[in-house]
Amino acid sequence: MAKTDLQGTVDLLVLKTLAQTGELHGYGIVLHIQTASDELLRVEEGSLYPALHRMEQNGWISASWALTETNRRAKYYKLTAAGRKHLQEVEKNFEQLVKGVRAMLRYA
Amino acid sequence: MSIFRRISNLFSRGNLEREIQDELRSHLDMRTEENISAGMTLEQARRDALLRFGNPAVMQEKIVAEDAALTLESFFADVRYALRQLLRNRGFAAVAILTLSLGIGATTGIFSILNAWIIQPLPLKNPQQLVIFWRAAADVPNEPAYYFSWRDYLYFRERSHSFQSLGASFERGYTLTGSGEPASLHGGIASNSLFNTLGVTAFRGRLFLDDDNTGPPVAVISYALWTQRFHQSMSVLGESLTLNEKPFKVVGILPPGFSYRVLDQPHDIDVWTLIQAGDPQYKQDSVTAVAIIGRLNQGVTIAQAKPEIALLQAENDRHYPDIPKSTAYLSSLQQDNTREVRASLLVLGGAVGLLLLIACTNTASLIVGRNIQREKEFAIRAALGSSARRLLIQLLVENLVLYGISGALGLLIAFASVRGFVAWNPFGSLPAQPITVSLPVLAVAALLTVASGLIFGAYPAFRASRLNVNQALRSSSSGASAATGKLRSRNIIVLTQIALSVILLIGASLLLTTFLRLNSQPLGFNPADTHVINLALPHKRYSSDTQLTQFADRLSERLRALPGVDSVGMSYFLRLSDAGTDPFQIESRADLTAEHLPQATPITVGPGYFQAMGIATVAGRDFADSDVQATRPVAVINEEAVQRYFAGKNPIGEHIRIGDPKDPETQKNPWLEVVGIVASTKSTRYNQIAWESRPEVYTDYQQQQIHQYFANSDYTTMFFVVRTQPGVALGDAAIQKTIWSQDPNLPVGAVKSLGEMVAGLQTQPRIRARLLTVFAGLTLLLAAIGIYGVMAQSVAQRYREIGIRMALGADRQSVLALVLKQGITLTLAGVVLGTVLGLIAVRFMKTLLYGVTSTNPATYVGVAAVVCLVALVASFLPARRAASINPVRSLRTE
Repeated sequence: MAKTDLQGTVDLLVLKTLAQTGELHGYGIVLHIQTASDELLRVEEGSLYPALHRMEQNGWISASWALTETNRRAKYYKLTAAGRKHLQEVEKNFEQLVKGVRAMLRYA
Repeated sequence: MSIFRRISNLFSRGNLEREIQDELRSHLDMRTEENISAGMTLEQARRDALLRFGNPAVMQEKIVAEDAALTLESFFADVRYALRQLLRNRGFAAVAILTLSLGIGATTGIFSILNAWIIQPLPLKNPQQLVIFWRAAADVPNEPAYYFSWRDYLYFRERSHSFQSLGASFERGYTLTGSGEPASLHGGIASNSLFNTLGVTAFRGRLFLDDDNTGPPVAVISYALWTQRFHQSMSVLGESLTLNEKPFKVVGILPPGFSYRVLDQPHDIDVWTLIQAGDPQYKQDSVTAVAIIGRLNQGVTIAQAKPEIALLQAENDRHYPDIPKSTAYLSSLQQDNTREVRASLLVLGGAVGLLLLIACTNTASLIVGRNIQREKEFAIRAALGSSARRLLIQLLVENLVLYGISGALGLLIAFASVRGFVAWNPFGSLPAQPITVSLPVLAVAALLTVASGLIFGAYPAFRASRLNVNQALRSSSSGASAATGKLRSRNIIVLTQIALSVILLIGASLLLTTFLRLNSQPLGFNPADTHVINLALPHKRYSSDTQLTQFADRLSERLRALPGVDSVGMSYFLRLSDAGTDPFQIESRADLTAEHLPQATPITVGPGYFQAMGIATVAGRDFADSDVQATRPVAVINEEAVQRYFAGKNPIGEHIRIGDPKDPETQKNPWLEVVGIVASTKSTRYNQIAWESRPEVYTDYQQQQIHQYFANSDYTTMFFVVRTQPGVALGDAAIQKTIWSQDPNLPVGAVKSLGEMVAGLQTQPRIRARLLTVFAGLTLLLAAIGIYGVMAQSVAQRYREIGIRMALGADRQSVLALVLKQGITLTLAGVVLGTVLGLIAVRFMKTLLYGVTSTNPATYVGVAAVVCLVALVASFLPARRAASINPVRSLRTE
């Protein structure tokens, strides 16, 4: 069975965001998830940061300090090669989870 | 690698936290900014931002918690906590650390010593291929009894196929003169194949070449001699050394690590010379003794080579029937070098292993006991939210800290004990390689420490982690039912300890009995109040028997005149071990064939020798001044010879002749008339501890042709035994002065006493008995502490129960009996277990015993009695405390 949990889901959202946008700070990631999901997904904003830190430690994303368009210092994250590979994996796992859950629901 | 990043985070904790704070703040700021631009007031905007974000402090914690660093930091917190705990319980910490570090230190030390001797290969090329050849006596097939002879060497060299090469060598005392102070050197004489066989090459210059034994004499010196005597000067090469007044050209220096010893020699050889081709001692059929060393062919084992050598020996011996019966015995060079110390080292290793086991169990028992006391603390901490895993980790860390400190201390003790051993040098010789606390031994000790820390730490921790909080808090510390169950693990530990100390005590008492028996054995001579002087008279100046006799008479007279001297005797031979024998004939027993000829040690002595040695004359007479060259040659034989060869019949008046009748040389020996019988003296054999009587034939110094016996040497050796009146101290200096008054150029070695010579033969049994007694005492002490600890704890936990019993009418006696019974039951079980294991263990030390059997009932009963007595005392103290419990107060507590 595919190993999927809630944590994995946050990882998936963050990695996917970075894959779509290239380089982004934490706040930007929150905004992107909100917009891209048609306001359906809303994470507690702070809870994003432990996940970001962990993914950075795992070498999936890398971070650097830069200025925002409003001239504010912020930590920008971008995907590494290892992260891109990992994203493919989580995406696949998630597809399977969805498929499985859907099959469950359709079961009569 | 992420793991490195996490660990490096640990060291930049400050930076990391600041960075996280910055990041979170920038997020909040951005949200606030946006809120304001959406029309909120600053206050509203901030509130909303925080609401959406969650508690920043908690978030920060969570982020950091993602780091492995946190685990490590909590580990250090645990270590700090553990250290605080140990400091708070100083008594516990001191006993535990002392016990453990002694155990670890002694074990590491002893095994380092063992390692240098037994495990480390000799510093030679492929040392496992090197084999040394001996003749063993028929009744002791695995101990060297005699050297092979030069003629055997030549025979083996020509015919053996198991060996790549053979070498022959022998010790030869050399006096170096001519350059600076005269020095006495450990010399060796070798065939030119010796160094090739050993696989050694010169450090400087060259070693022996194939044709060196036909040219002018050459010598090779050791690195040690080159350093000490010649200060590493290269000019020594090519220089001429005067050894025993003959010139030798130095051609090479041996490498620094080179060591080649035969038969437990305590030293390496300083200077090597060659067996010269024309040397009359080394002719085709010479019986001159040599140590034969062989290098096995690739893939051939000692077991495979042995039958071949045995066969060749039997073949060669057939030509020479006069030699004593013997069998070939091959041993590896390494084993040969450790024969005498091996048994002692192994006994020591076993004892120290048991000690370590007891030290570990004692500490384990302490830890278990302490954790039982701390159960409430654990329960409270569990109730406050400590997870089982957390408690377990913390307990393990506590134990690791304890064992870590003990391990470090133990290593210091190991270093100290190795140094102490080298300085003490109890065996009189040190291994070829220096004893160091070796890396593998160190690793084993470290592993042992950590493993025992984890194992003994894990059990209590496991117990603690399974604690039922409710139950632990509810049950008071004096609750009777819970206590008995908790004590079971400690009971098992104490039982084991008693069993282990019983094993060691049995071993120690057997070895001690052995030593006492050896010591109380009547030796046939009186070792007290004697001085023994060994002189070497150079042939150059003492070239005739008359000169030797005159010297002996003059010196004896002078020595007798010294104040306090009782008697003085002279002998040409004085050995308390490994005296060889010669065949002799009995005139009235012409029926004895060559194989059944009597064998005895011939000893030539002067008048007064028996008196000075304290050897009793049993019948007939001693030698007298009237026994001279012109009178009838006489002999005195000992009781052992009478018993063996005269069947107890009176031999006085019988005629005997020393030598094999088939040997033409024997015809030159005179027939001797037996005029007296003396008491048998005891002597030992190489690496055998038993005293035994051997047949001896004494002859008179004036009637023997001494010179011919020493023809093969540059010197005639002579012994003087000086017996003083009891309690008179005769200084060595007085003796030296007396000797030099006769001959100022005679080197006088150390003056020994017969007592010292006897003690020297008992070195191994004495050391074994002493060390094992010390170890057994230590383990008994540790076991006593263990019993006391368990009993005391048991009484403390049954405080209330005992109080109730007493309130219900139990008197002091019955309470005392109740507690004592528990201790005695435990002890008896341990004694039974120990006795059974001991019976198995002592089977390995049968060869180390003398005058006592390994199943001697008195030993076992005695050990059991001692252990029971100690256990009784150890449990009496807690029992008395139990009996003095005040029932009213005990019921009021809690």
